[in-house]
This record gives sequence, structure tokens and C-alpha cells, in this order.
Amino acid sequence: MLGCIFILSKHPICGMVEIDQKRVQSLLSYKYYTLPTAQKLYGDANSKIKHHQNIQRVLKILAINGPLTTWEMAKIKTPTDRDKIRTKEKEYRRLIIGRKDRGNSSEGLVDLNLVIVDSVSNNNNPGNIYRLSIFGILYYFSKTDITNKEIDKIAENYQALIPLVFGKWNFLKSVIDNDVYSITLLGKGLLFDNPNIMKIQNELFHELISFFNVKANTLVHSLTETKVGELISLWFYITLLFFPNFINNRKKNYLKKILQKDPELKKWFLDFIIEAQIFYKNKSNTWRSISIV
Amino acid sequence: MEKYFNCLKNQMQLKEKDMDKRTILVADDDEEIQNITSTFLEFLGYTVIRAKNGNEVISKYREHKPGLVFLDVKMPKMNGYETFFELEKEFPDAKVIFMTAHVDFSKWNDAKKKHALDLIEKPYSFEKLKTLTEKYYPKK
Repeated sequence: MLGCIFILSKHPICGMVEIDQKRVQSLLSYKYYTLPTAQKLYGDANSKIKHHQNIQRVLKILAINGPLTTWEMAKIKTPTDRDKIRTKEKEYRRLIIGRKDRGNSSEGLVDLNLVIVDSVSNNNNPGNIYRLSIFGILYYFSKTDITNKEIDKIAENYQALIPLVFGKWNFLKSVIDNDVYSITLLGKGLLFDNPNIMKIQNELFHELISFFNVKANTLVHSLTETKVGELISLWFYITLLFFPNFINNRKKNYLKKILQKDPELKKWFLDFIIEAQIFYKNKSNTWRSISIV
Repeated sequence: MEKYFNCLKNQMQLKEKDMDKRTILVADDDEEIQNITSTFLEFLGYTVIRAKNGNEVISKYREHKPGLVFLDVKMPKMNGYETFFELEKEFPDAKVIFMTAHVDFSKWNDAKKKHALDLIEKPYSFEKLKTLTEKYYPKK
């Protein structure tokens, strides 16, 4: 069980995402454990099973509307009918926190760490405010029927989680247009971590994404949502060296274009490049120091 | 009467939309290869159906009639070649590209005679996958 790693704290400004600074799992763990488990437990958009459909509905509400209490979630469909709100609220609460009563037991979305408690509501109806975790967002990206409009909404509602991408969403769209949506591929598990599966021909991309995976693995014991958010940002900008040109047979350097226009991003990304250079230099020194003959 | 015609028109539009879908079947018992290949083809704009063994390939082919099949050679129950020969009896026009990590060319020449399109060695690159897909199943 991966739950119980969220924090409870008072929410300073209602509606804003509060970042979870407790330890969270890695992107590798997302790819090899969370994603397949969630797909098994909750299916996908085309599932005909009612429980799967209900879970997908909860995820969609939190994706599109941002952090909400279960009461606020229930009010979306029928804002004035209190009986219906009460029934729906109970249903949503059960789906989020799970159920262990009268011999029934089902895991909730918090058990798999896809939804977490963001804060506690100070409104007339106090209760936990829930939101998608960073892995909940990735899982939502894995849906086959996700639309660009939904992704735009997620970027707007969850800017605080991935500020270097979601916080610059409109700027990125103005430079690279629809190529911003390639971020959904990470949600589907495309980490480029296994060269035995796919060969990478673009050398610069190969070196950087390999170092990215080394870096992600070394951070595995100290990951917080902030750090995972930064790793996701790195993945996004590194893959800009690959996807847009590759898919559309273009030879444009989008990464350069973005970095030229945003000094903050440029500094952050150059720090990563320097780290990569030091890593590969140390590696070659290791080889040089091995004396066989 | 007008309602009836509108309904008929909608149905015909839906069918046309369905036919516009470029569907590819990816068959591999290795889930990671299947997942990455499918994700990538979906990103290229194709609809992807997945299968884990030979029997699934045949039943899913019957159901979806995909325009292209990526078929792993080494699979449980029925290997890729056996699956292809079985599929070919029912659908002689099926477009199949084999994938292999074991350089298994044993039945490749026989399959080629029956119009199998190509054979690629694993691990393959995204570039190779894209080139083959666009060559044998180009977008309209």
C-alpha cells in the first residue's frame, strides 16, 4: 500500500494546489507498478465496467476542476438538489478513500496515491480537499481518449506541481504549438529507460535521456512531488530534441528557440547540461584510469 | 420522415468516420514492447489494437480488420509464423510485418511467398517503425 504519504495542512488560499513534500515514488515505480496496477484496477476510458467508469469520472472531475472536496465534486452535476448531492458525495468519498465495511473491501484512489489530500476546507462544509497527485496526472495522461482541452485545463489547475512546464504552458504553446501535448507520452510510460526495447538514433537525445534516467535513479530515495515535477520537466524539454522534428519530418530546434526566449528556463536547463557533461567526463576518466596492459 | 433520413445520414457519417480510422494490430507477449510500440504508433495518429498471442491476433483481426499487423515471431501457444499462415488462409490480403529478437528466419521465406511484408529485428528504432508504417500503411 502506497497511501498514507500525504500531508494534512491548512490551505492558505482555497483553490490553489499545495505541494506534498513527503517522500513519493519514482517515475520508474510509476511505470512498472502504479500504471499497470491502476490500469488493472480502474481500466481505461473504454471500459464497460461500472466501477471503472465511476473512477474515471472522479479523476476527470479533479483534472478539470482542480482541488475539490467530495461535496463540491458532487455539486457539479446537480448544484441545487441536496438529496442527490448527498448520494453522490457518499459515492465519490467511497471511490476516493476506498471501502472496508460489511465484508466488502475495495482500494480507493488514495491507496494507489493517484489522488491525495491537498488540504482541509475552511468553508461551511469542512472536509478534505482532494486533488490529483503528480502520478494521478500522469495516469490521467495515459487515457486514450484524452483531449487537448482537458490537458490545457490540467496545466492550468496544476501549475504548482510542474511549474517549469505547466507554469509556462501558454508560452510553450505559442512557440511549439501542439507539440506541447507530447507530455502525455510520459504518462503512458515512455521513459526511454530501456535500450533493449527501442534503439535511439539521435545521439544528443540518447546521451541526455540516458543521463536523465541515471539522475532519476540516483534521486530515488529522496523524491518529493517538487523533485518529480522537475524530472518531468526535464523529460519534457529533452524529448523536444526528438519528437517534434521526428514526427513532422522537420529540422527545427524548438528547444533552442524556447531557451532563447526564457532566461529562467535556459539557466535551469544549462545546469542540467553541465551536470551531464561532468557525468560523461568522469565516466571517460574512469575508463582512462583502467590499465589493462 | 426527415428524422429517419437524418438518423440514416448520421449512421453513414459514423461508418465513414470508422473507415477513416487507421488501425494497426500490435502482437507481442512482452508487455513493455507491446506498450511502447503501441504508444508510439498512437502518437503517429493510428488507432492501435493489442494482442498477446496468436489466437488473440486472429480473433482481433476478424473484429477490427486492421490495415497493418506487427507480429512478434516468438509468442506462446502459436508462434508468429503459425499465426500468419492461419490468418493468411482467412485473410489473404492481410499486411503483416514480423518482429523478432532471435533472428528466427526459419519460416521467413515461406511467409514472404505468402506476401508477408517485412521482418525487423528487435530492438528496433522509432525511426524504423515510422518508416515501415508510412511505407506500408501511409496516411491519406
